[in-house]
Amino acid sequence: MKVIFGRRFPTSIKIIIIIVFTSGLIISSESLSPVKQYISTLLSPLQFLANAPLEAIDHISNNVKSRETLISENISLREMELTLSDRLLKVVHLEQENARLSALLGSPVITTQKKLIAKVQVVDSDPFKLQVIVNKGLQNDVFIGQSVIDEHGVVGQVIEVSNYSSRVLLIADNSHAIPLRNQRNDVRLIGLGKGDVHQMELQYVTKNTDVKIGDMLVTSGLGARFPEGYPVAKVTGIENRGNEIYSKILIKPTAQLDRIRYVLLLWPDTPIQEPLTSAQQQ
Amino acid sequence: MRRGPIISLAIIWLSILCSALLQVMPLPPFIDVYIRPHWMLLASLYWCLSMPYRFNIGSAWVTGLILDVLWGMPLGLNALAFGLCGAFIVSQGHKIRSYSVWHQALIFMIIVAAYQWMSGVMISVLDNAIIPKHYYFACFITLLAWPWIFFTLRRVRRRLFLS
Repeated sequence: MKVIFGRRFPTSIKIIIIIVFTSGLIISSESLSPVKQYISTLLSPLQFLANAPLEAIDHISNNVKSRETLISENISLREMELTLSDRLLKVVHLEQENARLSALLGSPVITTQKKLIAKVQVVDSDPFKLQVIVNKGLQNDVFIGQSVIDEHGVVGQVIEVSNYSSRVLLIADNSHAIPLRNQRNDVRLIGLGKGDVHQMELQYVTKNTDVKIGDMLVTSGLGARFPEGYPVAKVTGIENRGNEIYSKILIKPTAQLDRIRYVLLLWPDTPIQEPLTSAQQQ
Repeated sequence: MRRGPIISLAIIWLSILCSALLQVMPLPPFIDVYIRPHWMLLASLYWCLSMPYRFNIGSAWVTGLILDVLWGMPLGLNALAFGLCGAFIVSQGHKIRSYSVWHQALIFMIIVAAYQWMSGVMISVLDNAIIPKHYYFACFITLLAWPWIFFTLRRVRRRLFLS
């Protein structure tokens, strides 16, 4: 049915309405996060469906692996398990010793206890952000601000949770910064993402700070977001320019941010008080 | 045999969801960056062009909102850009509808570029995002994608007697 005079609003009024609506949404984006969470739960079947072809290819390539590759994989995994369990035996001992020493010093020991393996679902195609979606959500007690690691180092933190999936911002995103510590000499530093998965930068490092190429940087635990002591990046380049106070230091994340498939979600031992809930209690 | 408005709307939104599926499907980085057409924008603009009495600015706005949630962007950012593109098509639709498909493709390429510019400016203001250099290259594939989308959705519209 073609309607000639049936338009309720002229186009210009509609444009004004959507501009007002959008600015309302953007202004109140903080308080709208439950709504966003609800919609993204509603849309999660879509993401599962979009991810299905990749899953299928994965499944097929797992199924058609030849006997020889499986055997060789098995052998190498077994060797790795031996070496790792050897190191683990020492770690248990060291952990106890460290806890005793910290108790002597009177500083609390912060350890992470609960861990959960999550699979990266969709590597997001939002052109401006380095983020991935993982297949664990509110159902598994994932919370906003949770730290995410893989087998080589820190990957990022959770920024959005829906019922069955959550969104992880990578440490290399240009809106992300992470407190670091130099493993060699305990100098505190801040690692800033630049939007490049292979390169990050250290911020505000004066020229006389002791940082060398090849230094391993680990999380410092300051800021109470990331647990202490996980490897993050290696120093790859130092530039000193004559007229600047700070030297430009490039670091490379140890986690392979461009090819992560499985990540580990960490829960802190002591529950973090979220600012929002504490504000509500007051 | 003509369908009622409710069935037509359901089919239109189903096609929008299909385009959303194509939009977020994981692909190799090269394809993702250079030759993934903006399916959702083009599908919603097709419906704005062909059936403005069923699908117009408000619907395009909602489509953009869906994309915002799927991409995890600030709510309303893509929505506004979609709505403005839809408004242009609705107001100029009587002219654009009479052009040939390739002529339309050229116009839609410019609209996609305008959309990219709008959302790029908004995201860099709101989120301090850096716009990558290859960002605007993605609009060229619209030239090839539009005829395909146009004929597919027109077949959907005619075979299913949408009105």
